[in-house]
Amino acid sequence: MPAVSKGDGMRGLAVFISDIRNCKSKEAEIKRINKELANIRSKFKGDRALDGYSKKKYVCKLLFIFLLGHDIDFGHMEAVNLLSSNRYTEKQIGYLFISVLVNSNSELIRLINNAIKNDLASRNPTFMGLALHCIANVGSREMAEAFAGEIPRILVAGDTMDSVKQSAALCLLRLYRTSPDLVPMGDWTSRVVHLLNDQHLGVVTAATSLITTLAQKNPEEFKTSVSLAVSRLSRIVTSASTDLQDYTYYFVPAPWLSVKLLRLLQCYPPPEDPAVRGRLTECLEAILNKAQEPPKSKKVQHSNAKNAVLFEAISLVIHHDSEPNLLVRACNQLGQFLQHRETNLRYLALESMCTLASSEFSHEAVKTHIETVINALKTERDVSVRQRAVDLLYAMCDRSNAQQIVAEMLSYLETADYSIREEIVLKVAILAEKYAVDYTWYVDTILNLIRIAGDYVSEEVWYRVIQIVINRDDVQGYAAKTVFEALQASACHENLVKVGGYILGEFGNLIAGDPRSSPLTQFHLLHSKFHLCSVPTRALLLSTYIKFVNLFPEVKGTIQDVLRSDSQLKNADVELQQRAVEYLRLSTVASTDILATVLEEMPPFPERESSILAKLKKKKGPSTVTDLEEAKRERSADVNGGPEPAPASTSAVSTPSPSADLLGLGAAPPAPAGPPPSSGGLLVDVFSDSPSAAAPLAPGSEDNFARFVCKNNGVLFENQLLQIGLKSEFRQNLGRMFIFYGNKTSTQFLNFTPTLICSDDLQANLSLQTKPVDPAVDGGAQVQQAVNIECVSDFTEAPVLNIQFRYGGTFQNVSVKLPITLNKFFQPTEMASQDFFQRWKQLSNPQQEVQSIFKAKHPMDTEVTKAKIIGFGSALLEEVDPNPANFVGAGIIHTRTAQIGCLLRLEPNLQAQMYRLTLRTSRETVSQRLCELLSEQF
Amino acid sequence: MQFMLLFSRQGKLRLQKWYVPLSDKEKKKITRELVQTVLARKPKMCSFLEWRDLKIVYKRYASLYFCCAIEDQDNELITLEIIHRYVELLDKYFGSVCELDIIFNFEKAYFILDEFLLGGEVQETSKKNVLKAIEQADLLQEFSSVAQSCPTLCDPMNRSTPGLPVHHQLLEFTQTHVHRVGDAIQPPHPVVPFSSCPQSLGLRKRLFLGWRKVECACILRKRANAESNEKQE
Repeated sequence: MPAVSKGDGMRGLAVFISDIRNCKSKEAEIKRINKELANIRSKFKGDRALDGYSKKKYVCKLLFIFLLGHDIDFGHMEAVNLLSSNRYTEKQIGYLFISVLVNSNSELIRLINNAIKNDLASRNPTFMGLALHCIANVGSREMAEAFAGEIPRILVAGDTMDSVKQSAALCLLRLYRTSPDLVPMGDWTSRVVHLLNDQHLGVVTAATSLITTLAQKNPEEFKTSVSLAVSRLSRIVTSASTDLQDYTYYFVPAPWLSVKLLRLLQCYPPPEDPAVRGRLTECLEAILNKAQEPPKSKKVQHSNAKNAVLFEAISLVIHHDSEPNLLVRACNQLGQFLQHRETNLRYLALESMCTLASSEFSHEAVKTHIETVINALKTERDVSVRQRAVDLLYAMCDRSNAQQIVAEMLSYLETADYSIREEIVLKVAILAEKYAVDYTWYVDTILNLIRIAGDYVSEEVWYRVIQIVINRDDVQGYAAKTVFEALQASACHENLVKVGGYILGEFGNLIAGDPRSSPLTQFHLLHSKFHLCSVPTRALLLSTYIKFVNLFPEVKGTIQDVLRSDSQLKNADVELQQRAVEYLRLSTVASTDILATVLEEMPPFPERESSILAKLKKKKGPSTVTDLEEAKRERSADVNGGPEPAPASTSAVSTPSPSADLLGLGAAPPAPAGPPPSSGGLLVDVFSDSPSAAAPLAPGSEDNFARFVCKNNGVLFENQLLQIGLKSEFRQNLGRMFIFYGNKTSTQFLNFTPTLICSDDLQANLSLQTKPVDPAVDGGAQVQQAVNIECVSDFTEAPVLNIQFRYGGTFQNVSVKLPITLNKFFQPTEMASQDFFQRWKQLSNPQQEVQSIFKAKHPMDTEVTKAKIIGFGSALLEEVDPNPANFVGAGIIHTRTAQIGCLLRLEPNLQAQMYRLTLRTSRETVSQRLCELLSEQF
Repeated sequence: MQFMLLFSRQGKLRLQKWYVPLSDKEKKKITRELVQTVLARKPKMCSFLEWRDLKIVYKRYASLYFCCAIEDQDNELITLEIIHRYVELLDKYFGSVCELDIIFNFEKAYFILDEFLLGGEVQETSKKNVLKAIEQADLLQEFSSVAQSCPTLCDPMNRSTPGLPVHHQLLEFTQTHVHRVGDAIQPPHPVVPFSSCPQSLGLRKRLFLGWRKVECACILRKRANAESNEKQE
């Protein structure tokens, strides 16, 4: 069949599309589109009423422009008009436009709903179909409110056409997904279940989707669907490939329906009725048998459809997890797919086997495929398939094969894609810990991990190895020896230095007897890495040194020399400097006994869930890992339990109070209760959370901001500590704002620093000048800050006022948007009606006009509206608009570079509780911004 | 299914269908990200990938990529066949569908999709039933278009100039296999100079080659060759 023009084409549309396609550049395209938009706008606004065809054509053009990725802000009304056309073709385009664009303009929803209501009541199946499609496509809450009661009636009515039933079922499904509370369960549900018996397979297909979704939330209500689904499935499975006529797809009978029925059955446990259960088992066996039959076609569609059903059947078998025979068969089938030439099948087999591995019946069967999976890891060319192989290895791992799997994963890690390295590292770390019989193996594995992929070893991993070494006496000596050897490498990863530093600091004495690892050698080895490390690691090493002073009195002098050196005592980093000072002092004043007490070996960590596991769960999303993990945890005794990297201290160094303050610095409001300076986690935490970063905007800041658009004075922000007030005045393009900071507490604020933050864009268009304020604000006092403002050119963003100060021991950080908006530079202009309309016409270029239709947020009071328009800065012109209910305003925006004339018109619609706001100015960006600002006010 | 996207090898979006509510900004972001990801994949790679917490199923037909996002418990293979069935429907409706058909008749592509999938679920899997629904609608359209003063039968995609049906098929075939944007394939409609547009290479490639069509095209080519030989003689 050649490409025939179906229905009626729209010549104008085709010409426009080919024009766009011929545009050589993005600019040319935009130019052509703007031309078209202007044309359409004038057509829609013209005095002559458009006929249906033209309206359809223009709406279709707008739709095309939108689909190209441009914004469309008009035409919705015309599209809504098309809905009530009697011509099918116009109605259809109207509905299409609404389906695609309605999210952005939901104000019209009432009109749309009306049109839909009419079509649903029309009894014309084609029109009903269109209306239902539209509801299903938009699926908004308003639509659910309007139709969720009606659609079930249409669905189960005896005289509804099949095609309408199908649409109604899926339409209801969509509404249920968006607003389940609005779809009432009722006696219709039992009749919907009986649609599973319908003669029309299309109706059954649609109904099965609906029932599956409803049954997930209301399993009791839809329990009867199980036996119906089983008998329907059994009829399909046993049918010959020609029985179902057009529902047979490449020799596979009704594959979509089969998949959906199998999916529905996964909402329930295995059927209790032995007859139903037996029938289902027969079905599943039949599906598994078919997989072994020679294919009826060489087409990939045939095998895909057949295997889609097979995989869904296997999912059901795994879900029931009660028929060992079926589970093992499923596993064997997947095993065959593991070596299939189709990449897609190998991928799915790996994925499906992952879930099989967690069943006690099939775990052993899955394990027999280990060699194939390892091979996949090495040879698959597609990273997503390799990823699945890693997942499966992880899932099939137990004590018997852990050593092999961990070794394979480690060797794969050397060449693994960067995107999945971190995850592999986590998995290796977890497996090594969980299945470690011999902890020397565990230590070796983790050190290897750091060597191979140090950058991907997260903090959780190295915290964990330290926790385990500290909790297990039998591995401490080995760990000390191994890290000592690993540190000998000329280049080693910083994570290794951290682990090494910590472990030698605790257990260096266990290997000190060997002259090759004498205390001094240990110290020199660590100190040789010191200068290459980051601040947190250096801080950790300093703690190690003071521990050495306790462990090995003979190196005390050397270490004191190091601590005393300028690079430590006068280090620019305050944490390092403080540690050096304190440790040096401690080593000189404290007696051996005190040193031994203070620097005692770390106590064992409390047992908690492994933080690595938590991290992996977070990475993969809770749904995917949890079940598997939990299932596995039950089976294997949790060897270690996992403490988190608690901020416990290496050294319970008695700390003078300023130091506690110092650490509290980064941790906003509640400073951790008395944390002594320590190595490891705490430090990292403290420094990662740098106090110089501005806080996110305070909640409610947007509302407050909007309140200041039409007024100049008031309270901008208030919390329990601080109140910020504003007073401002503007003249032409200049302004001055006074900001008042009030301390509501009785305690002094320290380091009080307000900062004005402007983006680069804003900085170019708005110049702000201010003087710093006194950094101390007494309790109950108020300080003021003046800001001089100049508007250089028009702008859209607003500056952000960030305030940082210290209150008591805590650091406070507040950000609010400062209400300096473009309309502040308005000068009102009075003019007569005639002048107004003349100017209005002069600004008729489509870019100059911006319009917005919006719902009233406040009561529609004329006087309040007037006050707001005057407060906005423009003049309020009386007796200009022929309709006295409308408001008209005019003014000039002053900037240093230009003066921009602005006209505005606000048309309230009391009945619909809506406004239409139109702005015309000589500059597009100005129209845009003013319209945004003003439309927020009503 | 959460959404379906059709885009060209150049990354141009040809059709988008969203079954979950998202802001325009989010939609654009998702589209950009996915188009990039999918185009970067090599032909032999598998058709599925994990993306955020969704599964992406995609397949390439000629110059067009069809890409669906499904949820974790959805079936990948059956989704692949949803794509194929949709291509079959387009093919049957347009007759050897190519990317240009979808560009110029985008509204039709949406209508067909709505008959086939609704709310992200399969509504009707029978090819006959879907096409019947669309053709009924077309009949309604034709009926009303006769009544209109402006009958626009001259669709730029209509390469079936009366009297030259053989020519049409043949050229299509040459285009598909030789990759030569010959001047000879200038369509009858003058306002659409496809050949002047460098992007059009491959646009007219059929998305889908049923064996019947290949066979048919072969026969036609032989016949045309024979005819031209006769002329030369």
